[in-house]
Amino acid sequence: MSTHDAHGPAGQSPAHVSHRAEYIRTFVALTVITVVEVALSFVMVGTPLIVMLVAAALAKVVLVGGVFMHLKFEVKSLVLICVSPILFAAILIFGLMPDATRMFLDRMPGTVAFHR
Amino acid sequence: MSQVATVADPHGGHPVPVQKTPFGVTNGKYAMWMFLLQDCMGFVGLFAAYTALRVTAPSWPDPTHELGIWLTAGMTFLLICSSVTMVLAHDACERDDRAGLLMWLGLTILGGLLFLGGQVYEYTHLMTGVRTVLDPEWGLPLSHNFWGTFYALTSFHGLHVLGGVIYLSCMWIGAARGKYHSKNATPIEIVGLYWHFVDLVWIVLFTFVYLVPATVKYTAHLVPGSGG
Repeated sequence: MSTHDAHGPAGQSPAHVSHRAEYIRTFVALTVITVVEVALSFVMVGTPLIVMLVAAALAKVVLVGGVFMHLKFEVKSLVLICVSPILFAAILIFGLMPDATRMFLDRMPGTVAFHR
Repeated sequence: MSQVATVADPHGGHPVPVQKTPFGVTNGKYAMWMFLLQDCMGFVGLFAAYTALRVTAPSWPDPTHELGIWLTAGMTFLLICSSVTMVLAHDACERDDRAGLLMWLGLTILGGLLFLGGQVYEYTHLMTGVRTVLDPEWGLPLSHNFWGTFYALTSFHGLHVLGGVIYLSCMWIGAARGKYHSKNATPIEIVGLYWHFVDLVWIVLFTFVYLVPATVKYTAHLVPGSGG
């Protein structure tokens, strides 16, 4: 349950638990990751760079979702519902890949389309 | 489905009923989560189209060469700043710090406006800058899917930022009238959820559209009419 909107049955709001220090730490972490991301895009190339960038983006998403959107403080069932789009996104994107790869191979010079 | 609890009216009136879902959050907050989930699927559709078009394109330019990375890195920092001011606004509301609430909400709105200004500047620069489609040195036609996907994704996100700024402005007016306080802070948390979602989408967008490099290049074998 969120500590931010939890109200007691008697109508009294519990003492507010401030997360200011955690917010500031998260802000610093997000800034540092962004700087590292941009720096990496100038010094690295190819697949290692893509892996690093995706990992950095994932870390930032977890920080924003967990701390700023308070998912870290919610019940697990709500968290599971809120992260469900990741599954659907993976199905949608990877579901398109077989067709996308076939089209790409068709366009490569000197390649005979295998589906014809 | 929902449970009913009450919170004390700060003005001494009757207790105000608050509907709660089995997830322990208010109906309003739950509704915002549901809205964000379906909105998220809209972005997922665009990202899926972007990925498919990018993978199938015979050529894809390096975004770091075509787009202003420093400007967008600054815009990313702005959104991160506005996210932290948003949570600080909610924190101030929970502590009945009305001046703090107005200040942090105001700074969040300012961050959103500056972000939109940066996006307008970026678009203007890309459309009227030195490197136009008529420049033979550039060689990337305006019809290239790179631009189609770039403008579709960034403008859709920009509309969300604009909507967020309007939403936040309405909340600021309500806060200035004393509508939000420690007993009624959930609306501030709900607008915060929306704003953090906008920030979250930009984080993914910035990485995949602006930073991820082109790995396979067949620029010498462009297929006419392929759209790529």
